[in-house]
Amino acid sequence: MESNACLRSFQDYSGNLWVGMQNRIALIHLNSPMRFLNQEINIQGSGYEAFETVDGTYFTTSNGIYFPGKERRSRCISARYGKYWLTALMKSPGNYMQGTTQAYFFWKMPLNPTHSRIQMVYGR
Amino acid sequence: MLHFEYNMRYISFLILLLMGPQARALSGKYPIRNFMPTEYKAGIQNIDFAQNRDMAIFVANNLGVLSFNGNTWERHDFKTGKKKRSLAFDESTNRLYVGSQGEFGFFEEDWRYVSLIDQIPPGFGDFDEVWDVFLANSNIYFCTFQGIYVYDGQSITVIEQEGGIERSFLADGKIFTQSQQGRLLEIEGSKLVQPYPQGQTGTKIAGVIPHDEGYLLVYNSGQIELATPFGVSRKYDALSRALQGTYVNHVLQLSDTRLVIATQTSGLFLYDLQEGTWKQ
Repeated sequence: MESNACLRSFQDYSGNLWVGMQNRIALIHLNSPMRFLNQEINIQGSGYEAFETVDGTYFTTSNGIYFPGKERRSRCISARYGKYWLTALMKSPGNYMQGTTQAYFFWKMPLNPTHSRIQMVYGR
Repeated sequence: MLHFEYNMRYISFLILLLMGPQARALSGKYPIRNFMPTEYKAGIQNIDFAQNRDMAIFVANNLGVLSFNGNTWERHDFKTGKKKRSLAFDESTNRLYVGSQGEFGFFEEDWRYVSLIDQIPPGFGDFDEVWDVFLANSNIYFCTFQGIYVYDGQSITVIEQEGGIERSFLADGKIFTQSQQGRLLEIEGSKLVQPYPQGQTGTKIAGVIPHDEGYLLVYNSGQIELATPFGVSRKYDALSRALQGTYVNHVLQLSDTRLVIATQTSGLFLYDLQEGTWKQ
């Protein structure tokens, strides 16, 4: 929400939430299947791609690779290699490819994102 | 149908997720639509809501009562000089009850307003704001700091507490309030009784939520207690710490296991009682 002063909330028959505020009314679509993944959960940059693993969903942006998981704030896993990112989930579990406008790199990605170490296995 | 016009200022990208519990477990921000005063053409402050079975939303605004049919806003009882503070819609009579500054009553069909002030017993007409209106036990409860005015459809009786009371709450069909000394009180018949032991008394209660064998008491300070007939204990310490300094204004139990905690300085907290996690 764009303001922090929340006075009262109300759940309507559709399950959505109305918030009475000091300077506006906000309607939060709790029942919406949509979610915004953005700076507010620490995903920076323009969004490019997303792919799911058993541990959660990885997101690539112009700034790097992010993993929100179930945490309130996302973690930037890798942001070292330039402005433009391209990723694709490889057939082999745990591997994916990322690259810049300059080059493509293949990485060995640990499935458990709490292990932040990423190992480059091939690059050109 | 609502038109979704979201502020895209910070949005990097949008993902469509499956509905249901799986969607709730994932991170991300819910879509939010902000209605500005320039859109609904009334005052800036909005305090309470109600809804009828036609799905219309009613809002207690500081300049009048607003209604929203999903597409357009209307204003009612506009700029009377009395700020609207509380609302409750009674489906059995199709009335919208309204509490305002020194005034309470209801709207009938076609937005005809009926004041109940004339029915207040002599000597009880001096009150300031009607902060809450509740429907319970076939009565309407207009809650002020001077007393609770109970309307049974025919007449009004007043429940008082020496020294006055604080905010009032509806939980599980029961009406609770807090004495000026900080004690939790419950309406029993036409009296206020002290139902449960209580730990904190020096801070105001912002929410009373049914929980286990008793009630969660959420204080302005962010402290949370579980009060039962058998004793009182502190609960949800991690959440309490997160709420510290935010000044809790209001607490709502959603239809699932989550609480919505409205704060003065830090927005909303969505707290899942089962998982012990929250989103801000």
